[in-house]
This record gives sequence, C-alpha cells and structure tokens, in this order.
Amino acid sequence: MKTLTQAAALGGALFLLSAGPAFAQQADVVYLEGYPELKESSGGRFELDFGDLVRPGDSVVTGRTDYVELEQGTGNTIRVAADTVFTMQEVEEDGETQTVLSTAVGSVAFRFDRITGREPRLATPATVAGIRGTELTVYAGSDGSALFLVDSGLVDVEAAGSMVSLTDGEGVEVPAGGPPGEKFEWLGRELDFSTWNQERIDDFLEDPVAGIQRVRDRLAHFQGEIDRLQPLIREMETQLETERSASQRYFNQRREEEFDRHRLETLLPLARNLRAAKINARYYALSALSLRRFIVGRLYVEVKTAYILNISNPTYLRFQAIYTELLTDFEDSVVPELVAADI
Amino acid sequence: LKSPPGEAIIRGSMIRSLGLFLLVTFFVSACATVPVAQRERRIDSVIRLVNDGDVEKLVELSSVPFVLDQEIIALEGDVASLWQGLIDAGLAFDDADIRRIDPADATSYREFGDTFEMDVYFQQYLAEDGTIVEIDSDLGGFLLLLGDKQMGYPMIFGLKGPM
Repeated sequence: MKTLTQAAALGGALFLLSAGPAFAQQADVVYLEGYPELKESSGGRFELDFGDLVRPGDSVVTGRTDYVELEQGTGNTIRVAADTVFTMQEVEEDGETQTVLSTAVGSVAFRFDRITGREPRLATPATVAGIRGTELTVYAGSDGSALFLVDSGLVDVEAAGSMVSLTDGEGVEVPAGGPPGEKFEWLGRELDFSTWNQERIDDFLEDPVAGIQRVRDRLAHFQGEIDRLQPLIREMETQLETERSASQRYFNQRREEEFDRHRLETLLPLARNLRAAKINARYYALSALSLRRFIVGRLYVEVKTAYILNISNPTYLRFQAIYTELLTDFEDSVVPELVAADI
Repeated sequence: LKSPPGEAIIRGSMIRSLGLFLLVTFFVSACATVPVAQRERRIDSVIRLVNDGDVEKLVELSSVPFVLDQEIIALEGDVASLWQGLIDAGLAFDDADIRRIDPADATSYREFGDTFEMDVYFQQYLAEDGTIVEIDSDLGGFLLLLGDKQMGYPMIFGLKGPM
C-alpha cells in the first residue's frame, strides 16, 4: 500500500511537470472557414469547430479552401492558411518543457502580443526560429524549404548550423537542406505562398534526385538524434529500476531520512531526465514522420506524375533508389518510436 | 374439376407477378449484399473517369488520406495535384481488363507496401468493404484500392502502378 502511495507521489510530480506547460500553451479556435480538421495526438481526426481546443501534440490540417484562426493565451494569434499542416509540439530544453509551433507544410502567420513565460519556438521541417515579441509569417514549402517574413519584432532563424537574425520588414529564404540565405527587405513586395511554393516544386523537378537526397539527409539528422537518445533512455530506465528498488529498501527498513534524500536527490531528478529524453526522442520521431508525410509525400506525387509514362527513365530510377533507401531508414529508425495513432 | 377460364387467367397473372417479385427481390438483395466497390460495372465507371480525364470527379471520389504506391498522401491539395498531374501526363487505362476483385483482408496492405504505415492505413482509414482491384491496361498493371460509395461510385482510397 505504501509502495502505491510512493508511486502515486512520483506520478503526481510527473503529472504536474507535464500538465503545467500543456495547459498554458493550448490554443482556442476563434474563427474558421471551410472544413478544417484537427488530428489529435491520440490519433482521432475530426472537423474543427469554433471553440475547440488545440493542445500540444495536436495538428490542424486545412484543405484547399480552409482557414483557421487560433488564439493562444491573452492575445497571441495564429492564422493557418489553406493546404497547411500546423502542429503544436513539445520539446525539453534546459529542464523546461518548450512549445514548438511547427509548420510542416503551407503557410502560418503568427502574432505574439503578450508572451508570458518562455517564448515558443517556431519550426518547419528544416528550420527552427527563436522569437521575441513578433509578428511574422512562415511559409513551409513542399520541398522542405522555408521562407520567414517578419512584420515586427526579432526572429533568429537557424538551419544547417547557421543563423540569421531578422527584424522589422526583413525576410529570409532557407533552401531545403541548406543554411539560411541572404536576408532581404520584403515589405511592399508581392509575395504569396502558392506562387512561391510552385517555384520551389519547379526547382525540385529540375533535379529530383538531388531534391530527395536533401530530404534524406534531413531525415538522417532526425534519425541521428533518435539513435543518440535511445541508449540513454534504456540506460536511465535500468537505472531508475535499480534506484526504485533502493528506495523501496529504505522505506521497508524505515530509514526515513535516507528515503527522503534518495527520493529528492536521485529518484526524482532521474525520472525527470528520463521524461525529458523520452519527450525529445518523440519530438524527433514526429518531426521525421512529418517530413516523410508532407514533404516526401508531395515530392513523390510530383515525380510520379512527371514520369508515369516513362518509368524506365534513369532519373526516375535514381529517384526511386534513394526513395527506397529513405523508406528503409525510416522503417528501421523512426517507426519503432511511433504508434498507430501517429499515422 | 376444371377451373373457370377467368380463374386460370388470374392464377397465371399471379404466378407471373410472383416470379417478377422474386426476380426483383433477388436482384435487390444481390445489390444489397455486394458492395459497390466489388461490382464490376461500378469499377468500370471509375476506369471510365480516368479515361475521360474527369479530374474533378476523381478528386471528389478520392479519400483523404490517399495511398499512392506506398506513400500516404495526407493533404486534399496534394491529392488534387496527383490526379491533375496523372491526367495531364496522359494516364489512361486503355483496353483495361479487370483481372481480379479481392476484398481487403488483414494482409492486403502488403500489396501496396510491407510497412507499418500501410498496415495502419488499411486498419484505420480504409472502408470496411475495402477492395483491391487489379487491372491490366496498355500501360501495364495497376491496383485500385476502392471502398465505400458516393453517388453510386466506389470511393478511391489508393492507386498503385504501373507494376
């Protein structure tokens, strides 16, 4: 019975750790057009309605004529355009749960008026951006490239190990798999997502072999992170079992002082670290899935339709060879981290 | 004893009506038990849509998410681009011959791809009457993944080929 009480206390502590940020970061649907869908982290899919809540782990998926406006906290607005997949994710950093607002593909505009606590990070399949008091639009292209356009505030865009800082009226394009390009003044210029995205697809079709290789490289980055975390998770799980036994021993022997110290100094930090590692492994697995689903999926459509009557073309065959390797890597490294509800 | 002539006429008429009733009942019950996705004439109507290049109707009948070979296409816009691209490229099932119509079972996903994602798709997204149709055409063999129905047509859940 006492063991159960201890377990409950530990469970409670973990629950508080996870419930706090999740509650703070959820967003309400305040306006919508068409028939956008919510894909829950539990796997459920349903049509969004006014007042629905979007929680960490959930994705908003818009169709060709849909539009969704979300409000987060007191005054943060997220506008999800048509043909877009927007996901709220979580990652652990420096012992804190960080919200990542991820645009897998499509276009999302953000306005952060009053950010309380830690500012969220923005991401596309190949970039991350830190923000400070910002209004900006993120375009995530079908080939994995990205475009950041800042109205006001400060944005640090990071990709392939390089960073560019943007401020009012500045923009930067990040090619798939590459570092951010030169920043430019965008205010007053005509920029729309569908034209920009079509240009990216046309570029990809110029050399689909190089394009799919870039995506494979990006997938390898996520796989690398998962492979790095997996042994740590296994090690921590084993260690946690050992420490739980030790804790139980102290308890049974009524060594209360040692029991409390061990719990506070060893057991809880270890449980916290294990949770952080699991959240991060999951973050990388879901990022890899997002890349696979929305980038690889679209590129596959483009190549398939371009070569449907010419499937013995050498370019098509080379594309297929790399694509097949990518699928094998995905099955081997990422799929073990996924559950049916993710698909 | 002989029945009066009028009675014989009435009896004959009743037998014909009964026969007609049984025939209609048989036809209706046959239609009710064979899913639209497994009826050859309905499958032909889908093939005709491809041959006629009716992109709008094909998109309308396509499930989202949709399976292309072993790739799950999750966005409505991408499914529309797929059909538009295939038709623009000249895809047509000329001289199509339906080789087989098989209701999908627990292992059918392997025909599209022996992957976790295909397994989950077949369990989670495919209609209960999901059917794999193999067709031969001038362009080679194709698999159509059909199920459910919409305005008399089977819905299209996936396409694989040419194989």
